[in-house]
Amino acid sequence: MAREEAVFKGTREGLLIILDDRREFRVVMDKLRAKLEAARGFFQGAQVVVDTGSRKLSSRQKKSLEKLINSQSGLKLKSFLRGDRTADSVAQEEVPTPAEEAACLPEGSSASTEPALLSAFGKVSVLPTLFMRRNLRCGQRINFAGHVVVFGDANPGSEIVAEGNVMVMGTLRGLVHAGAAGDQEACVSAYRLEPSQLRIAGVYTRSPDDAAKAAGNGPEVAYLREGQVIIETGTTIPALSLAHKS
Amino acid sequence: MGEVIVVTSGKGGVGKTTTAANIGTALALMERRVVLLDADIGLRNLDVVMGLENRIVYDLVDVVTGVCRVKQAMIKDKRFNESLFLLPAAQTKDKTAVTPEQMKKLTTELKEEYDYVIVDCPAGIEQGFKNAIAGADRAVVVTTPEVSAVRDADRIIGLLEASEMPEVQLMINRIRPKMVKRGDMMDIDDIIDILAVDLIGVVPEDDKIVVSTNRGEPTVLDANSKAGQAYRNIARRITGEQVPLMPLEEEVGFMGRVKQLFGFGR
Repeated sequence: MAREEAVFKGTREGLLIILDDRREFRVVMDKLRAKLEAARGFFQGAQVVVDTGSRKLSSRQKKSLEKLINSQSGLKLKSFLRGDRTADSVAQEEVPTPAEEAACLPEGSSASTEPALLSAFGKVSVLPTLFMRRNLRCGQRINFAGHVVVFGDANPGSEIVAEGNVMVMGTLRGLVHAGAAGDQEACVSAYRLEPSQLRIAGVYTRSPDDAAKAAGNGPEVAYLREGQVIIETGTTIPALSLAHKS
Repeated sequence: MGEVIVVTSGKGGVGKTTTAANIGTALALMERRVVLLDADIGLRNLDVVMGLENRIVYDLVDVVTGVCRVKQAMIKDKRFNESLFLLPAAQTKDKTAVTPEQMKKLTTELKEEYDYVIVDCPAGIEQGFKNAIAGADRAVVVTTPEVSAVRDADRIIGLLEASEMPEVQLMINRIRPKMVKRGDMMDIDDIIDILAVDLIGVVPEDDKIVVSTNRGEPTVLDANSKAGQAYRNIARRITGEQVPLMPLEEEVGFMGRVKQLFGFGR
């Protein structure tokens, strides 16, 4: 794979941006600007760590990077990281060991999508999680680079867009998009799954027109299998059936 | 210290103004001191519904801009002995003529002296809405049993929650019991299931509303009106009384049953 000028990775602490150290700084900046522009609004409230590889930045270059990243709504540049894993903080805040953060990411995981880990439990996903303890109402939208858990209902006209999985402990009647950055493994689960539209990675589906009647009682899980959205009903334990999948 | 209650809905035409007029009048009948405040600047009609249009001298914008004192703009409704007042909206200005801060100041001032300040909110979610809810202690969200109205009510409730409105209650307007029974109309439970807020009352569809609105006499003054009865109950619930929901089905008497038997039932 050709090395990209700017690579985004989601970490537990926020967003890690890796800049290619072999290309001209100006080229890298242009690419980064374009990528940030394309993802506008996607990384709400994320703290950003920039990895410059072996490149040593001048203070002017640092300033312009900081300006570029902080100009995106919701993003805040926290620190720089060099190839040798020494952090130098932008502000004078404490930086929680970015070397550790980076170590959480499996080697070779390409884009921002799936920091999945092989642990004693098998494959687990360690994206940041947005937990919300209220109803998501019409016109309200969550856009998050990680998992989303809603402890309440997601009403018609609401939107949940997550890079990871979506779980609604209530009735899901709005639009939902899991694996929005392309993760085919992402799933959507809800106590009652009646979304107006359900998207996983690049696959879009909508509920059948008689969804309200067709919907069974109890939890359901939607996931992708061979490019098709599969809905697993609550008669089998969803978590188990998911495990069998892989 | 009184209470500021905003009547809102998001969608237009669901009965905000009618509701504000009737709840206000019903509270005045209960000898509470009430101000009806029309926040629908540019499209005022609370004054028309109350039959007080031709007595307007000053309006809301005049008050907040200091052209007149609050007392000068307040119209006393002579049908009620010193207990019902209307503060009309301006007709020639628009929503931007007032700021949320000004509204908050005004309602705070009014509730010092009156028991209830009922704010009639304009449709929409823009400046007019923000003005109307600015000083409110409580919101009554009006919806009708239609998907579009419920959707907008949900949007409004979300905005009220986001602005930390202390109390949000739902009023379902224009319900038609027979259609609900046939399954042709959303019923109360369907609506509550989606909106998940407390219900303050249900008002049935009633032709008398049209008549009373045109005459400028709120329906609560009509003892025979079902809608008027529902509004009187809502006013009692606002004061904290426990009032059960009235049965929406009309009582079927003996003759009614005979008619139904022979297929003449309504």
